Amino acid sequence: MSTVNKKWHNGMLSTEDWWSAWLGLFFFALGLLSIWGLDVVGWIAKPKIWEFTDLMQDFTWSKIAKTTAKGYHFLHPLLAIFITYVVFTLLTSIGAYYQRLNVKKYIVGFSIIFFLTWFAWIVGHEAHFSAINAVIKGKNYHEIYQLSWGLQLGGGFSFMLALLIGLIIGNFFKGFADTIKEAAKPEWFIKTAIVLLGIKLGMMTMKAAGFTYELALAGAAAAFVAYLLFWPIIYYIGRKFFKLNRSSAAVLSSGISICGVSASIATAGAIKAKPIIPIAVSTLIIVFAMFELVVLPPVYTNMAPNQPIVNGAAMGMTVKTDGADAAAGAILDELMLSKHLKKQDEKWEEGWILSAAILTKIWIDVFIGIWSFILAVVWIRNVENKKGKEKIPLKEIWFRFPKFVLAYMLVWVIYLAMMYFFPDILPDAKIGGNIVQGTFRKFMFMLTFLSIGVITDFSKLKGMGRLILLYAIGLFIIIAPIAYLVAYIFHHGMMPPIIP
Amino acid sequence: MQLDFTLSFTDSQWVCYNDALHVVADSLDEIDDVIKKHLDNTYSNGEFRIKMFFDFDRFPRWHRQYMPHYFNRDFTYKPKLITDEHSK
Repeated sequence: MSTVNKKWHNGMLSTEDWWSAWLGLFFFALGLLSIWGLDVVGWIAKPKIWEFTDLMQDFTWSKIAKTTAKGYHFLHPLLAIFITYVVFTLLTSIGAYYQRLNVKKYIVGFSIIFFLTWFAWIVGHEAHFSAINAVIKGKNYHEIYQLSWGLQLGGGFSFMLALLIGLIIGNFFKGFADTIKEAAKPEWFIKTAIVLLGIKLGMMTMKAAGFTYELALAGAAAAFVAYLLFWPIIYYIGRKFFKLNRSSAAVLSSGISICGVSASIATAGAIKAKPIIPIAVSTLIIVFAMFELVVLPPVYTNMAPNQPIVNGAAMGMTVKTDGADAAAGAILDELMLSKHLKKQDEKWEEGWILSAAILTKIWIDVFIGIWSFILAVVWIRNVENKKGKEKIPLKEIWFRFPKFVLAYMLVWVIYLAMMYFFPDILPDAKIGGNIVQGTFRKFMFMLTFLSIGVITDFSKLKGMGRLILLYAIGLFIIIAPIAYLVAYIFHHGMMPPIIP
Repeated sequence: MQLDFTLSFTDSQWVCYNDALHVVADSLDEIDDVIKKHLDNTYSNGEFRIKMFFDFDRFPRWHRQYMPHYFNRDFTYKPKLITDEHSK
């Protein structure tokens, strides 16, 4: 049996993109129940900052994990983790069933990924890795545990550890990676997390409406840069200096310049390149995204520690898959907040740098349908000379529109509507909203980091010498510097709010 | 009249099929030619709308999460009347 798009609603139950929207909206709706005094999300477990020697002297689970809401603190931490496991496994397995994944393999894979993720999350919160030498919410864990040394990476260490564990599995334990790959779905997890970030965007709008709108509009400029500047440059270099054929040059240009894998497939589909081309290019994109994810956050943090929003937006234009972009944005957010807190003793509110990275990327994503439609028309008219002989239905734009963006925008709009029309219910709405966009979202990020590592196999780059060289030149010599310049023009001086 | 096909691929070739026809070729143009020829040989008049819907399941499973939507194809064709003379 095949899966094809015939009608506008095809794929609503069977594609991962739609399932990101459904899962994200479901969590969002659960969070909203706090308006009526119902907390049905506060049971989710989250790790606490702990210290190794202290834990060994007197081990209790309550030192390393707890439920997110105080109202559920009566639950034993292990029970809270188990409930979290059951809920996430159940909900994602329903999605896996409708996406026609092998549900048994999915549940086995997800269970392993879940517990490895939790292992990384807990270890990453050990005080020597995470505690910052500053007072946060009335506590300085560096002083409480009398640490003689510390990396002071905040939550960033958990992300990096999850990524490292995933990479070790994906590259050194390939048999094991195959066992859990059915559930290693970084794009699904991250798109669900992005939908939940719509809540954060809503809350940001309440605090600083002008800032948020400016961020959103500047993202539009980034889209123009990606499509009208990056794409033609890479295409020209590919054709002129690397002697690629038209199809390969176009698919690679979209992959490097626009939104990675989905852009390369959409372009290949539009110009009828053989599917083997986007599959090869996609491998390249995923492996390179890993390098970007590891290299760019520390580079930007140290290069421009006083330009948080510029760095976030530049990340959104440079890193080419949604998963890696959001992941890199999350690490950047943690690293920059930690560095600023250490140096200035001033805490920026978390999530703003990440939101800059994601908003910029989303703007680029939403135009891919229109761009591939234009390419299809150009190809038929000018390359294949079949003007008038073959139709390109406008519906194809809809098929390529990233649906999780609709859910992200819907969540934002609902928050805006509450802000303008029902301001009285906002404080109650924020109780559930904060849990969903906090712990739920961070857990989806953690799942993403581990999954990205599992599906990244560096050995797949063998035999792609010419494409690797073009990709590296395009990314680091052309795209990264231009992206940073554009981000600087639009965002310099913009700062996240300071937490008193 | 409308004819629906599923469009798929192997490592290096396109595959287009429905219940009546199964075509494997290096290029989409070649597939179109085979279908047109089939229509020429089967029908003597009328206009046919040929729709090819891309089969996403042919993409590797790890890849499907990135929205593997290929463009569906849509064109019309009027079969040429095949006479003995044409056949020769």
